[in-house]
Amino acid sequence: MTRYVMVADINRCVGCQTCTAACKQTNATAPGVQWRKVLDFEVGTYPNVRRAFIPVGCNHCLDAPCADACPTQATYKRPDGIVAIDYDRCIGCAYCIQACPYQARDRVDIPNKAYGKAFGQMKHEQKVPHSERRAVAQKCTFCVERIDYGTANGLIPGIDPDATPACANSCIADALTFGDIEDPDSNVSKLLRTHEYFQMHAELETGSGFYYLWERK
Amino acid sequence: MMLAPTLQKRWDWRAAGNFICGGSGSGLMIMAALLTLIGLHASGYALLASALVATGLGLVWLEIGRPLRSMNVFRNPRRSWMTREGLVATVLLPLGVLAFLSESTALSIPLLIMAAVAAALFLYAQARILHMAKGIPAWRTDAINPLIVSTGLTEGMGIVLIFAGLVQGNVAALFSGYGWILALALVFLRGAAWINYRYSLANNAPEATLQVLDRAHSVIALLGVAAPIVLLFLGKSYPAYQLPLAAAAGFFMVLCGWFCKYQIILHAAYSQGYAISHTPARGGGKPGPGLKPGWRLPQ
Repeated sequence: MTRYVMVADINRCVGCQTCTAACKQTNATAPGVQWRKVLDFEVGTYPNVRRAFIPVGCNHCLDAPCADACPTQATYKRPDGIVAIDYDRCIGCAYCIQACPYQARDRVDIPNKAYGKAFGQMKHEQKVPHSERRAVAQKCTFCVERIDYGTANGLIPGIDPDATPACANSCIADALTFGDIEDPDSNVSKLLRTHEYFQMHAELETGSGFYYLWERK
Repeated sequence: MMLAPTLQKRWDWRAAGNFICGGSGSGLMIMAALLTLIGLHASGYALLASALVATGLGLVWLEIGRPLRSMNVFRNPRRSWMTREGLVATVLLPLGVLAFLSESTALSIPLLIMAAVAAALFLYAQARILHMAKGIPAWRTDAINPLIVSTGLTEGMGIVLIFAGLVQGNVAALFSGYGWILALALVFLRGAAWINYRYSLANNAPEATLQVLDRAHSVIALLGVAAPIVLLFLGKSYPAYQLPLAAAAGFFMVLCGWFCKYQIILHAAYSQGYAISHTPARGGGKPGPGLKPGWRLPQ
C-alpha cells in the first residue's frame, strides 16, 4: 500500500511563501485562492514572543470528513491516499467546505481578476481559465498530475522533482518533504522516526496526512 | 491571514431556509399524523408540510454552484447524509400529497403515517448533515441532533396551533385532549435540548460562536420557552380565548425555532481556525508552547 503525505519541519520554515507562489504558478488558481498557504503565528506577549511559520493546505486525511460529506462522490480517496475531486461530478453544494476542519477548500463562482475588473483578465489568466473548477469545490491535489506522471514513468514521488508537488520542490529551506509514509525507507518515514511531530487538530481524528516536525529526537 | 476561526460565508440564508422550511415541514407532517391518531382532523396539514419541505429543497437548489447537475446529489447514499436527505424527500413529498388528496378515505391514515415516518427520517437526516460538518464546531457537536429534531417537532406543533382554528372543533380538542400536553412537552424538550447544546459547546467552540449563542439565549428562553408555556396554560384556563392563545403560542414556537436555526447556521458558524501544539526552537533555544487563536480555553 502507498499513502502519500507531506511533512513540514517548522524549525526550518522561514515563511518566504515560495511554496505558495509555486503552487499558484503550477495550478493556476484564481486570484484570492491559495491551495498552499503559510500561516504566521505569534505566540506570547512582549518581550517573550515566539513566531512560527506553518504551511497549511489540504491534509489528505485518512478518514476524510469531506469525502464522507460529499453527496455526489465527486470528492473521493484514491488508493494512494490522495483526496481528489472530480470537477465534472461536483454540484458545488459546499458541504465539503463545511466538513473540512482545515479550511482547505474553496468554491469560486466568478473568478477575481488579478488586477481588478478594470484591467480584465491578464494573458496568463486567459491561458489557464480552468473553467472546470468554476462553481465547484477545489483544493490542493498534492499536484496529482505530477505524481501520476511520475509513477507511470518509474519516478519516485518525493525524490524525483518531476513526480513531486510543486510546493515541496520549491521550498528554499527544505522544510517541506513529500513521500510515502507506508514505505519505511522513504524520506518522510525517516523524518518522522527521528523527529517529534504533531498533526493539526489531531483531536478531531481525521487521520491528517500533514505532519509538523517541531523537535529532533 | 486570519488564524482565528472565521464565520462561514458559503451557506447563506438559502441553506438556512432548507433547515428552517425542511425542519418545520417534516415536524408538521409528524405532528399531523400523531394528532390524527388521537382524533383531530389534521391530515390537511400534509400538503402544507410537503410544500414546506419542497420549498427548503428548492432554496438549496438555488444555492448550489452547478444546479443543472443537481441529480448527482443521489450518488452517495452509503456515507452522505445530504444524499440520504434527498432520497427520503423523494418518498416524503409524494406521500404527503397523496395523504392530503386521500383525506376522508380509508387510505388517508396509512398514507399519513408512512409520510410521518419518512418525515422523521428527513428531520434526522437534516440534523446529521450539520453533525457531520466537522469544520464547524457549532454544528459538529452531538447535541445538535436532539436540538434540530426537537425544534423541528416543536415548529410542526406550532404550525398546527397557528392554523388550528381553520378546522371546526380542533382548538377545543387540542386543549381538552392530549394536544396541549404534547405541545407543552415539546416546548420543554426543545428548551432542554437548547441548554444541552450550549453546555456541550461551553469549552468546545470558538469564542465568537459562544458570544453569538450567549446573545441568542435570552431570546430563545423568553420567546421560545417561557412565552409558549404561559400562553398554553392561559389557553387551558380561559376556553373563550383558546383560539388566539393557541395561535400566539404556535407563533412563538415556530418563530423561536427559526431564529435558533438561523443563528446556528448563519451567525454562530465559525470555522475551526488554525492551531499548533508547539512552536519551533529558534537558534539554540527550546521549542515553546502552542497556540489556538480565537478559542476561550486552550484545548
